[in-house]
Amino acid sequence: MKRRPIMLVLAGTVAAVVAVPLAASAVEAEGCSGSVTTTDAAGAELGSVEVPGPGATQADPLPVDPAGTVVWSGSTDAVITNGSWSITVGGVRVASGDLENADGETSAGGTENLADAFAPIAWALRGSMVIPVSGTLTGDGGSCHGSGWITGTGAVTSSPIFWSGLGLGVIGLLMFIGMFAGTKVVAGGAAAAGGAS
Amino acid sequence: MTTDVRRRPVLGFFAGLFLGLGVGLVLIVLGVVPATIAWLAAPPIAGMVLGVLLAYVAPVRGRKGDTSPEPT
Repeated sequence: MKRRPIMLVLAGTVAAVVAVPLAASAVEAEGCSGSVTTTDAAGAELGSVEVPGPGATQADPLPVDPAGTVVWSGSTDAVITNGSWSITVGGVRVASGDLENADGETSAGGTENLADAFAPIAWALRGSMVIPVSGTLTGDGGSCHGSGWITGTGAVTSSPIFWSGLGLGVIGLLMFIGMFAGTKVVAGGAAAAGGAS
Repeated sequence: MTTDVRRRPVLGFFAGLFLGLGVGLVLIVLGVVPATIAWLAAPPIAGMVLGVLLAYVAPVRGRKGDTSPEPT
């Protein structure tokens, strides 16, 4: 049974990949504090969260409208200079940069208009997608790390990602049907050696 | 006349990839699982493995009138 070790390795790989996200659901904020408020396209408040504080968890994510705004403010516990920052969404670093902070400031804030955001970001914020986000600032004087969860708004069917997934699933099903239909007895030795096709 | 079984592991691989990716995307958009790179990768990987496995265990369709035993 030479196939059994291969099957076990494959099964173990799948189990490991599935187990990873189950272990990553902590919310944390260290070295800094702040607040985030989201609004819809009309300017009505959708949600607000203090960091650190309750809310913006996986079970109770902060709603974000792809056509709305995000108003944020934050401050660090210490003056951080000559550092770098990064923002991670869904486990992927989506933005990063350097921070000089020659003025020695410890607070910042702003309003981000999501209507101007990159299209895939707007797609991700349609429906019920629950997305982990985190930010890190590290430099001379200290560091700051914060994380939380956001979710989209609107109907799931308004998301192109939903329809893309549905389309891929249908293609996969049709290919499976083709695979089963194509598994057959053939004459001669042309299809020998596993019949890879 | 000799007979062979034609199996399609490569087709099973890609069928599992597409089906897994589709299921993963739908589950993520529905909020059933979090939108992380790990959850995006897990269903296609599982699908590819299952697709190849299914290709090797799929029932064999014989030719009409073929009464010869299935090769092992």
